[in-house]
Amino acid sequence: MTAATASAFLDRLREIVGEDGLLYDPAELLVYECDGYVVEKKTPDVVVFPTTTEQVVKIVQTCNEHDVPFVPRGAGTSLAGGCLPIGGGVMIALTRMNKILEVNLRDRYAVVEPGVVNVHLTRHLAGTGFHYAPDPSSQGACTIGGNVATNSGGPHTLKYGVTVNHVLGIEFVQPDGTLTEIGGIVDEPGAYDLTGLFVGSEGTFGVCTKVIVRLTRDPVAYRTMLGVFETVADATHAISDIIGAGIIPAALEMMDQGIITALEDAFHFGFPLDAGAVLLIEVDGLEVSVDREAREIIELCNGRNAREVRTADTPEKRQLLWKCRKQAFGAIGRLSPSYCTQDGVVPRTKLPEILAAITESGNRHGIRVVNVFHAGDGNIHPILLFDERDQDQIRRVMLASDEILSKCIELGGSVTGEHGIGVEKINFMSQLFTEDDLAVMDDVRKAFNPDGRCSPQKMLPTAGACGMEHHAPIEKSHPTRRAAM
Amino acid sequence: MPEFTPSTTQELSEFLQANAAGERQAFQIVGGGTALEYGCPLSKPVTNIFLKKLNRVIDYPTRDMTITVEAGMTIAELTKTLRAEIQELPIDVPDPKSATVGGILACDVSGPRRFGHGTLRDFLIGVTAVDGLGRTFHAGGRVVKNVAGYDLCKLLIGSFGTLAVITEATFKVQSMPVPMADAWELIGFDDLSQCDAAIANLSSSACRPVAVEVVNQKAARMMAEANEEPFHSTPWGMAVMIEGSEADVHWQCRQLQSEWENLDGRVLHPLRDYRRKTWPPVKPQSTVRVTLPPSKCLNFLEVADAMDVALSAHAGDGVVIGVLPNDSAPSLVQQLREKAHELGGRLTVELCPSEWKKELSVFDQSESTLRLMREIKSKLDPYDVLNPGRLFS
Ligand SMILES: Cc1cc2nc3c(=O)[nH]c(=O)nc-3n(C[C@H](O)[C@H](O)[C@H](O)COP(=O)(O)OP(=O)(O)OC[C@H]3O[C@@H](n4cnc5c(N)ncnc54)[C@H](O)[C@@H]3O)c2cc1C
Ligand SMILES: Cc1cc2nc3c(=O)[nH]c(=O)nc-3n(C[C@H](O)[C@H](O)[C@H](O)COP(=O)(O)OP(=O)(O)OC[C@H]3O[C@@H](n4cnc5c(N)ncnc54)[C@H](O)[C@@H]3O)c2cc1C
Repeated sequence: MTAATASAFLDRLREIVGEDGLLYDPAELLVYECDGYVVEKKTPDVVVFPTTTEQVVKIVQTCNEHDVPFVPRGAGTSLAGGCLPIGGGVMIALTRMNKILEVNLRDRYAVVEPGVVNVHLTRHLAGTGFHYAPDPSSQGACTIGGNVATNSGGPHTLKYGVTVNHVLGIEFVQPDGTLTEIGGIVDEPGAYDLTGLFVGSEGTFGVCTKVIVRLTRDPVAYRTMLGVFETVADATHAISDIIGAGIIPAALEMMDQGIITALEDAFHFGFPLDAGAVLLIEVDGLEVSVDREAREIIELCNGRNAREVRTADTPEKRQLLWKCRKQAFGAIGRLSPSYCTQDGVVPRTKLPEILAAITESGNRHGIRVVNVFHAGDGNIHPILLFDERDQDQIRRVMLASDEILSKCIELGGSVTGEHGIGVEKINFMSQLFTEDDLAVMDDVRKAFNPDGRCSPQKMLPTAGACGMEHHAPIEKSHPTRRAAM
Repeated sequence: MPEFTPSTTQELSEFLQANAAGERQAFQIVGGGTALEYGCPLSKPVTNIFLKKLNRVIDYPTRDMTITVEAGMTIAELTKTLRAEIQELPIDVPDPKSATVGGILACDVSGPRRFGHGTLRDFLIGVTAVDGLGRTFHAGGRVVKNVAGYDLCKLLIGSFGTLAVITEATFKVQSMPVPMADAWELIGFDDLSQCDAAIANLSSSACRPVAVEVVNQKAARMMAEANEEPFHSTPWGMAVMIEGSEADVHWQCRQLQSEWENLDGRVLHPLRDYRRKTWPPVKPQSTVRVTLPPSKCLNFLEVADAMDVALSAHAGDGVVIGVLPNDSAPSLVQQLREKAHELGGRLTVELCPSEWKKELSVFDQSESTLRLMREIKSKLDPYDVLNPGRLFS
């Protein structure tokens, strides 16, 4: 019996959240053994579902009293293993804290609980003339709290920025149980930007219980286009040309032939199967400017040998184009029993180089790779296809992934543009950062989380916490990653 | 200890390491030196560290639209470099010939166009700095999207040099339309309720202005005198900035004027470059910066106007800059601060006679923020050698 399964401890949690706010039966816990990153698994000892901030405070205090580690969890769509309960302990699932508490259009903000599903906020705002800009492809499932913890991006980050650009303030329970508010609707001169620092801290600073987000006005007009190219290289050059010409599209997404084929098989959108790549391009803004920008984009694509550029001239056609982008992951199931989505980033002018390197790596290791990604940001998502029943394929997928990410670093980029470090990429940290960089980051973590009881052993390779060895308590099972959705 | 002017990050790092291991002398970091009296008085005797030799462009891959420069580079120099490639960092900086990259980051400077473009938080993507122990650290990088590690860029923005000396910064920059155009539209009001209606109208306007400034008559008169140019003669003026390609700007200006026809205001002739002229050209004695929920901004303006304060506000963002009358006393600040609090805002004293700082707190941070700030400071600068006391005691 561990401290977390001791009956006194469970009784205390039961007092706080009630019997239906608690899971501890091993069979029920299996659902929580991993998130979207299924390579490493570990079941928590207990999962609790608080419905109020006060309950979160009490849960965290109880964990402190019993020296039990804890980890926050939203929808569990993390692709980096952020929710893995290393060392067991308590998983605090925030999905029942899902109320939109306030919407203020005049001051352009909304206050939400962390378990609000991203797309629910968008739907709630429909028709007001405002929206919440960050729109990760997982937005149908992921929570705003999870988005804050991972600093999520999405197709529209090229023009509108990532989550941090839209978060004004945060309420969170510090790992010692203190309830703290940082930032807010009003600027705080003379304050460190703790809100900005918290965003992207991957659950290692505490449990976020409330978020104040900025609302953005809806654009007046859109033009959505689909550029069809013979080769991936032509498409990537077109991207550089568009941005180099001073046009910042609202979105600039690329899909290669492998993805196009999968999408066609699944949904029959009418894509040309022999095209090397397609670009989904959207410009938004004033009615006067979108047409001019669209014309310019078509010219630039033609200058890079585009076979054709289709314009969605009705809202239905626009929706259809977006649907195919957002369902790309869903279609991959048709290509292969398992797949692994990587998340690297390079300066966008280096896209042709990294894409060539991806193809080479795939060929060298005999792994098929397809690509669908946020091209305007230089954020690549090569998807490595394999069969998890074949140990050798798994090994080759790992080698190819490693090579691709190392190449991203070599080209001046990073090993994660949006999914985070979690446990998945912890070994890359010392390749990306110096010892001093990591020591300073560790110090910053200790300012929030001195005992390391909250989300132990995530993100920083230096963090030794609660005397736990990193790999010992994790059952390494399938080095695969299926999409969580 | 003599003053120190490093030429490289490494030199600075070695210097601060030796200091941490030895004398633990305290330092003031100096960029352009334009805002050294901002903030709380330093709590220890200090020697200056000058950043002026760190003024190079490290890397400018123009088509990636990012630039890495050293922190001692002046904003004028940065702007010139970017302009040559028809790009810009859309942050308005007073006194750009003197102010430096490190200085604007340390003070988290923002001006009128924050309404349309955001603040430094939205543009800084990478940073190199040296902390109080002499450790050189980097965060972020040179790509526009990156979530590896904690975002220490954010931590350093607005940290007033109390955690580390910033030595290099990487920004994501914007390209400008060719030809680039901008214009100000100015409308005058007799009272603030009319102005309020005009601001509400902007929320549904077909235009997307990048700045919304509201100015009272006292401030307008100061600007007019300094610029030897007429300004508005109404009790209140609202200036709205439109920016973009010529076609965009032309269309929006016409559109705005037609929307304004239905409002109780007088459309006036704007100054040619209102932005530059709104900064008090002569250094005033005492100024305050009040931050409020945008919808409460006008309530505050009304109260402060009655107290004879010259007022200029980034009204869309709820930021009010008030220049106090020359014969004011600290009690005026207290009154204004109380009003700010009542409206859910905060008041920071930007400039004031130094003896005021004995009885007035300069900043207006929340307790929870201060608690965490102290915690972080104790980790990055445990001997309190960098700008000691500048933000908190
Ligand atoms: C099909 C698919 C598509 C995706 N597309 C994108 C994309 O386009 N862009 C993108 O950025 N990501 C994407 N992701 C990754 C993932 O959806 C995001 O990281 C998302 O933000 C995670 O939210 P979540 O609620 O599922 O969080 P979880 O997976 O539950 O948690 C993620 C991390 O956040 C922490 N956390 C969660 N809630 C809290 C809280 N309240 N307080 C403190 N810490 C907390 C957890 O401890 C963990 O470290 C995708 C994932 C999938 C499966
Ligand atoms: C007339 C006037 C009006 C102003 N109005 C406004 C306004 O309305 N809004 C606004 O936001 N600002 C305003 N300012 C402030 C102005 O923007 C600052 O002058 C500028 O940001 C400081 O740049 P600097 O290089 O001169 O910094 P300095 O004056 O040299 O330093 C300012 C502070 O930053 C620290 N610092 C400097 N460089 C570094 C570094 N590399 N690393 C760490 N810390 C560093 C210093 O120690 C000091 O605490 C005004 C200034 C003036 C003179």
